[in-house]
Amino acid sequence: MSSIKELGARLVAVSADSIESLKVFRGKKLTSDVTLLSDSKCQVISRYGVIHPDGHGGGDIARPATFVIDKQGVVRWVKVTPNVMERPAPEEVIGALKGTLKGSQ
Amino acid sequence: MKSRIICLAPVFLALIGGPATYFLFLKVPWVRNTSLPNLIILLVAVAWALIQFRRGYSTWTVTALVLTLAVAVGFIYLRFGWASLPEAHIGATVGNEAPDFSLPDSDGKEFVLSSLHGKENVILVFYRGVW
Repeated sequence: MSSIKELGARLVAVSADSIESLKVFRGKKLTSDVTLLSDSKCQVISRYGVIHPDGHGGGDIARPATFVIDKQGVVRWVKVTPNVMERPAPEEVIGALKGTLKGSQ
Repeated sequence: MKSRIICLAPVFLALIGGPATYFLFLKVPWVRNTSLPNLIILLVAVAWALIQFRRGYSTWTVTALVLTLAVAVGFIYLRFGWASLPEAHIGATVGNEAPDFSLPDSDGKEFVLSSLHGKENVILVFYRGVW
C-alpha cells in the first residue's frame, strides 16, 4: 500500500455497493489511502466493460478487473481475469505501475 | 470400528486440502489464482481412496471413494466452472484515454477521475463488492 503512494499513484476501487456498505467496508479494515467509489447503477462498470450481469444471482456487479492509468489519463495496463476467484497479484500491478512511470519519464 | 473410520481419511484429506485450505489461503495470491496446492492434495486424496478401494472392497472403502471423488469434482466445478466468467468486452484499452467518470465515495463526496490528471497515476480496481 505504501509503495503505491510512493510511486505517485492513488488506489481507486469501484464496486456496485451502496455508499452505506462502503462505509461499513471502510470501517472494517481499510486505510484512508484507498478511495472507495459506489457505482450502484453500474454505469461506470458498464462503460469500462467489466460488468458481470446478474453476478451469480445477486444483481449486476463488477467482475474483477484492474486498470493502470497514467497522469495524462491514458490507460497503460489492463488485467481482467476470466474467473471470479482470480485477481491480479499485487506485485503484478506494482510492476505495471513501475513500467508506466518509466515510460512517461 | 477404528479401521472403518480410518477408511474415511481420504475424504477428510480432500475436504481439508480442497475447499477448506483454498478459502483459508484466499489472501495468498498464487493460491487463489492457481489453486495448485489444492489440486495436488485432491489428487493425492483420490489416489489414496482408489488404492484403498482396490485393496479391499467394502461399504466403507466404496463410500470413501465416492465421497472423495464428490469433494474433488465439486471443488473443481465450483472453482473452474461456476466461477468462470464470459469473455469481457473491455471499454478502456491500453494507449487510449480512460473514460472519465464521476462517482460518490464512501463519504458521499463526488470523485471525478479527470481531477487527478497531471497529478497522480491511478490504479483503478473493479471488485465484486462485499457480500
